[in-house]
Amino acid sequence: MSSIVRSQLELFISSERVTIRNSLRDARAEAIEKRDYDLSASLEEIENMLMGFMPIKSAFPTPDEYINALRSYAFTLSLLSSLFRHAGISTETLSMAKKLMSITLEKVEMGKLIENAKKILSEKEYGREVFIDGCKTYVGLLVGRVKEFDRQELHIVKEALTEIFAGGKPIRRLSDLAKELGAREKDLMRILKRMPDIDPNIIVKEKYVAMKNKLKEYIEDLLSDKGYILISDQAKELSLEPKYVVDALKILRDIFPNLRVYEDKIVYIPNILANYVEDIVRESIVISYEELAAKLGIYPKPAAEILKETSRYFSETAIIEKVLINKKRIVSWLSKIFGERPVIFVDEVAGIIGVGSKTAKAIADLAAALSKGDIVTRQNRVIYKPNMIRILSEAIREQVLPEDIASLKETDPRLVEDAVYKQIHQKLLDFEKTVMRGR
Amino acid sequence: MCIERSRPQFDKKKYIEAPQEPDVVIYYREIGRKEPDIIRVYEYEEAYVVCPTGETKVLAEPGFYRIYSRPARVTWVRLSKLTLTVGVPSTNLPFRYGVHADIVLFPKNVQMIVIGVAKVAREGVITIDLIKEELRRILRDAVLNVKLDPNKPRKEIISRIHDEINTLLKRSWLSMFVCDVQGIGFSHECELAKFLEG
Repeated sequence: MSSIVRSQLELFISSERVTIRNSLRDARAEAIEKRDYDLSASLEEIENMLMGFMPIKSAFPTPDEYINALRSYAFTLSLLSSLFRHAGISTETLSMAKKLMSITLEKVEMGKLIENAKKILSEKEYGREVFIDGCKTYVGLLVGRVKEFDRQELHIVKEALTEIFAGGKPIRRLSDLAKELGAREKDLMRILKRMPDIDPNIIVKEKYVAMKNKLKEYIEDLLSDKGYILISDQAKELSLEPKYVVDALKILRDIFPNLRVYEDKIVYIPNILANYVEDIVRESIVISYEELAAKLGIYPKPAAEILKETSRYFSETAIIEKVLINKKRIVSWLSKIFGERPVIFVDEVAGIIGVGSKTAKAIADLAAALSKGDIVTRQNRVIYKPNMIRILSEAIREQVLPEDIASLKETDPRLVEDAVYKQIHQKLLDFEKTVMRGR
Repeated sequence: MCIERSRPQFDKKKYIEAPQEPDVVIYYREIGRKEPDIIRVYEYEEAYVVCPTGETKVLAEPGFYRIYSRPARVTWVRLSKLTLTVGVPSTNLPFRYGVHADIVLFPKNVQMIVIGVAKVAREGVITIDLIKEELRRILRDAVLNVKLDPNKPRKEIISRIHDEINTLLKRSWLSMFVCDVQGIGFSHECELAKFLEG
C-alpha cells in the first residue's frame, strides 16, 4: 500500500512542479516584457527553489520517513498551485510561496506543517479559499487510490472539512461533499469513516457528514428567535432527508442537553419556546391551543404536548383547559367585553374565545381572582362591579332601577344591596363635604 | 502515455540525446522503431515528447526515459538564458550609422516550439546563429519603426526598442521567446567605426 502512495505522490510532485514552473515561466516572460525586473528576479528565485523541491530518497534512513517527506512536499505543492490559481502570480503570492516552501524544507511534522501553512495563508483574505482548494487537491490525489488514509492525511482531510464547513452549511450530503472533493462517494466514505477518531466533532453517517459545533451554532442561531424549528423546513434548507436531520440532531444532544426533538418533527428549546409563546399570548391575551398551533405552523396535538413541557417556564401566562391566558391583561380584556354593561353571561365569553362554557367560566373565575374584586362571577353570569356601581348611582338619582340590575337583584340581592348601601353612603359623604365647604 | 523513466545508460549508442554543442538551442527528432528507445535529458534542458496518440509529455527532470511506443517526436529545448549581441550595419539602414543591441532571450511558451517550429521536418536544429539572424532582421525593423534618434536619452531609446522588438518577436517564428534589451549602441560611438569612416 505504501508503494502505491509513494508512486502516486512522486508522480504528483513531478507533474505539479512542471505545471507550476510553466506558469511561473510565463509570468516571468511577461514581467520581462514589461521590464518589471524585481518581479522577474523573484520569479527566477522561486523557479530555482522549485527545481530542487523534491525529497531525495537516499537522504532518508527509512522508507516511511521518505514517504512522510513526499506527503509534505505534495501538500505544499497543492497549496502553491492553488495559491497561484486563486490569487495570481505577484510579489505578494511569491513571497507566500517562498515561505511555504521554506517551512516544508524544515522537515517539520505534517500536523505542524498544516498549521504553519494555514497561518501563512490566513494573512490574506483569499488564504482560506486557497487552503481549502489545496487540501482538496491533495485529498483528491489519494482518494480512490489508497484504501485507507494515514493519520497525517486524515489530518489534512479534517482541515479541509473544517474549512469547507466553516463557510457553508453545517451538515452536508455525502454526495455533495464527494463532488466538492472530487472523489467517489464510496471512496470518500471509506476514508471518512475514521474521521470521528481524529476529531469527535465530526459526525460521519452513511448519507451525510456534519460538524457538531457548527451544527450547534446553526441550530442555536435558528432557535434564538422562536425557540423551535420544523424539521421539514430545515430538511429542505439543508437539502437532506428529514430523517437524517433528526438523526444528526439527536447526536447533537450530547453537547446540547436542553434540545428537544418532538416526534421527529419539531426541534425546540423549552425555555426559549416558552418566551416566544408568552410573547404571542401577551399580544393576543387569550388564545386557544388550536390558534397558537396555527401561528406556530404545527398541528394542535403536538402543540399541546410541547406546551405541557414548556408551560413550567411561563411567568405571566396561565393555562386553563386548552386556552392560554395572559394574567396581566385578562382583566382589562374582559372589561372591554362588558362595555357599559354590568353583567354578561359566561356563554358570551365562551363564544368570543371559542371554548366551552365550563372553560369560559374558569377563565372568568381567574379574571375575578386577579381583578381585586372588580369582577365577580355568579353561576353563569359575570358581573363587572364598576359598571354596576355607575348604573346604581344613576338609578338612585333618577329613582328607576334598570332591568339588568333588577334581574341581578333577584338572583344576587346581597351583591346589589351592598352596592346600593355603598352608593348611598358615598352620596351622603359627598353631601356632607358640600355642606361643610358652604359654611 | 508512451514514455516512462528508465535506468541510467552508460553506452552512448543505447540512447539518444540532443547535440552537446553550446550553440544548439532547440533540437527535434522523430524517433523511429529501429532507433534506440531511450532518450536522455540534461539538467539544463527540457524535452517534449509527442506520443503516437498525439499526447504531449513534458520531461522537466533530468534523466533517462524509455519510449515504449514509437514513432514519437522528441524536442529538446535548452533552458538557459540566451544573451546575444546583434548588430545592423549602417549600410542596411537609411541613416549614417549602424545599431547594435545586447539582447537576452527567455523562452516563454516552450510548448509552442513543439507545436510550431519543430514540426517542420523529421530532424532539425535551431542554433544561436539562426536565432541571431532573425533577431538582426527584427532589430533593423524595430529601429526603422521607432524612428530612432540617437540624441534622445539612452534609457528611453532602450525602452522603445525593447517594446518594439517584443512586438515584432510575437509576429516572427521566434514567438516562443520574449526578449530583454539591455543596451543599445551606435556605430558612431565605436572608435573602430569612426576610424574606418575616416
